[in-house]
Amino acid sequence: MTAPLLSIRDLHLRMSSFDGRAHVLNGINLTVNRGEIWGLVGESGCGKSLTGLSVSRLQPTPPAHYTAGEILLEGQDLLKLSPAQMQRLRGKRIGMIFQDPTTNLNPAFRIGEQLVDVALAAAEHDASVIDCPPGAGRRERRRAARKLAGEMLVRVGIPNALARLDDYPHQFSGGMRQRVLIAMALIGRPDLLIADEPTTALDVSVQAQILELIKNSVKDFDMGVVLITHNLGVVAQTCSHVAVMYAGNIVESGPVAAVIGNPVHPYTRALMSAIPTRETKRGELRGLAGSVPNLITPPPGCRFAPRCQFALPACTAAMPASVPVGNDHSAACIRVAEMEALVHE
Amino acid sequence: MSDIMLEIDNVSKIYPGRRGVFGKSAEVHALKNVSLKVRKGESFGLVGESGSGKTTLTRSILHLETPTSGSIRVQGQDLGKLSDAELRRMRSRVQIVFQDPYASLNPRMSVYDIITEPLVIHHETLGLTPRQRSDRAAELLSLVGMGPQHLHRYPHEFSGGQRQRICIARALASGPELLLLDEPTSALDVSVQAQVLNLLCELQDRLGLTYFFISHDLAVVRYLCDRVALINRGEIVEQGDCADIFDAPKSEYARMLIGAMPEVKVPAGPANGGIGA
Amino acid sequence: MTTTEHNIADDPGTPRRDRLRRAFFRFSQSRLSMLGAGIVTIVIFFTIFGTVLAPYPDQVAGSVDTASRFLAPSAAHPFGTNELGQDVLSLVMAGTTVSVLAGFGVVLIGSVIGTLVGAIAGFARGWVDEVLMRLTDLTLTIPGLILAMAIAAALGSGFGNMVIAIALSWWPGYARLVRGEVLAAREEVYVTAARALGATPKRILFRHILPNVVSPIIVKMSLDMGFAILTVAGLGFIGIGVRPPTPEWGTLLSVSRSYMPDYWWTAMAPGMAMFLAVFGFNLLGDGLRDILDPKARR
Repeated sequence: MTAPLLSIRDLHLRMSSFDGRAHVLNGINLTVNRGEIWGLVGESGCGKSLTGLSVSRLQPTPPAHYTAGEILLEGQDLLKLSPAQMQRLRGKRIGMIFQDPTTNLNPAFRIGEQLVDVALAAAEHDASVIDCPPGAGRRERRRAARKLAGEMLVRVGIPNALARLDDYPHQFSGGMRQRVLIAMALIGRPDLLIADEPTTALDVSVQAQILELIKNSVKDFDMGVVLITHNLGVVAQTCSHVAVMYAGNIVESGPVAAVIGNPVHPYTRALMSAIPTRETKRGELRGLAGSVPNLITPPPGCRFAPRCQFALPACTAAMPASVPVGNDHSAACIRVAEMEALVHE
Repeated sequence: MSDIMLEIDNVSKIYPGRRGVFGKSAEVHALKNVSLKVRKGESFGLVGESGSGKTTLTRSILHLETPTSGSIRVQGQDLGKLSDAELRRMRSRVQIVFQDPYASLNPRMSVYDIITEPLVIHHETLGLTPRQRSDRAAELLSLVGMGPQHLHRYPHEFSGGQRQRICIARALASGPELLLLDEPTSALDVSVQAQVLNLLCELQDRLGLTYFFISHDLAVVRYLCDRVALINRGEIVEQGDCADIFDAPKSEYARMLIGAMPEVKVPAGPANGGIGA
Repeated sequence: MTTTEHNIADDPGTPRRDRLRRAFFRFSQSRLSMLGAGIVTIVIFFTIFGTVLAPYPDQVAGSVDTASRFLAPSAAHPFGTNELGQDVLSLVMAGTTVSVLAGFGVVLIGSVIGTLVGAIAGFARGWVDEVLMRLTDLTLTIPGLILAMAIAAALGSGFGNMVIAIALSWWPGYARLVRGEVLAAREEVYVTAARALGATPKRILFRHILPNVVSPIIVKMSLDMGFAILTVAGLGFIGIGVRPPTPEWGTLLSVSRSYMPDYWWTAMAPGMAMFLAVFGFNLLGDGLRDILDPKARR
């Protein structure tokens, strides 16, 4: 059996600040294969973005400090790579999209030039990215890269793409800029795409189109995606798998249909019941009281226990291990087996 | 007196084009003949995407912006015809909660100063002594589910949800009848959003407030509002009872918006299905 | 169900003190900032006690000792004596008072005028803004020292006139800084919220806008202190500032110029004092900027 595309094993991350050291990632385990879109959900401050930044190694160390674990990209531990090696991987093997499409494009350069630069950088490591004979000169390579840039813009659905290569970022709307960023992330044909809240700043109609675009890209490029979002609706609409994070742990993970159809961890249940649906009666929305705990002095045992309606004294004794509850579906809760009964009480 | 709280009658707003070195830019029609009525005690939702004119309409209701034509009446009083003194009194009756709880609180003022500011500004109308003001501040805080121990703290010490509660307390301080809610939960986590939405329901029941709820999140509007209007490019596309619009949208735009809603629906298919192939 | 969330901000400890502690922690992370704060503390100490602590107080007041002219540095006179036989150390120590107070006066008056002009211009906008800012630009086109010389010449010499003269060429920098900050602050959501509440323009300016532009003003004041001290000394050097026998760094330096390089010590002490003061205030200003106004960091 070949190594999975991305495998995060028991990743621990500490963050130093004036107040002390926070245990921000506390034993993350996540495996992403090609063709899968993994949704990473949870409230703010749960470590979703940090997990994404860890994979692309964009989290500066210090203040961050990896104390244990490994991040394997097809068997290669990213945490052991030098910054230069990592720089080569980003863009080529790992593509990234961030929340704010305005700040991630250089306003001083044309869209086409920015895409060409990324394509040429990727081509240095894999010449097949741009369609060009090996001995080609600089000008020829640029021309090929520009052709590819045009194709990518067409692919992400930018109308009149070839003409728009010569436009500047400010001439694009928010949704179009996010498409350009997706084109930029995909132009090096990455194996893994990390999308951190790619649609949060966009209107719902644009959001639906962007999510569709990401889904189609997975089919076209046979890549794996980690989609970081706080919106379970987006996960249900887009992802094949989901990992629910709480306070630096993955508390429940598995195929979307299983997790959302039959959530077993109390936190997943609480998150889902906080979303108003067609059936929710006025005043009957079930909130989740309290907020994510301070991770410098996290609560003992299960970190969700203080907010959990099903918590027992035993919950505070030790961090619950992740137990399988079905096909690929697992949850980290000591009362998983009784959950069905508890909910119907 | 009628039971109409807010009446927007044929309001248009045109921003004139700017004259620059390279000629004149086109006029912007931010609002085109917008008409709607909000009844006393109801929750009225206004749904639109960015650039639809939601913000211009909100600012017009607050009289921070003057419409080019048309009139806005609050309880029958035309905002455009009020004297300065009358307008100030009107401001105590129409209040707003903004989207971003991080930006809408002055970082240099304590919670106490923030909540009592409306009481100080409208002291002619409200006539409270300083002692009564501080009692009222504590009462307002408990109304939004916070305690008097928070009074002398500063905004940066609070979470997003708590700040939004402070904003609501400030908006309620002068005893308004109409509350504009400009995407009050879209900057918050779902769990916190649920708390704030419940608080808003509770407050409406208790104080008999009228809500004008601006949002792009249809799920939230469906949950909170009795009636809803959809606005697109400065025009009202469709308005009516919430249930009707969600069940049987008439306009193309409404159908598109409802179709794009990311709902938590259990996808069909095998439990371990990938989406490739 | 309950929607309260008392649990988060209930931790003990007074918030204001906590904020100060945090700020101090960040400040103390930088050695240069701490060095600056140390130098400034010493400078302020001599500003207050310099005249009292001077080893030869009567010479500070103007008495001369012609028998001991131009003595090289020794135990009795660590920085030697000058052409009138006065102890250079005593003069420099006492001179701190005049130089630093004058610098502080310049910055204070300049920042008050500038803040007022800038705040009114940025808040009122329109023609008021135009008039005030063109006036500011006009002042800026005249070199500061020359303007100060002209004003000092018109008003006559003396401590107060010198401070006023420099301050009148000093405010435009503050006016431009404050105007920009006010323009940005008036677009803040909390300002819109205050307008929606019916707050008067005066209340908005003084309660909501100005408190939020204080940090950059303080940073600029601290950075300007060194430069103001230099300008005061510059006026003294060219003979327009404080007249002898009142000791002042610029004047001391100016007089000792005639006796260089043979009696170098007469110039060395006032020069070093000036260097240290300017250096200290600049470091302090940089440090303050890092904690008060993190946006402005390079």
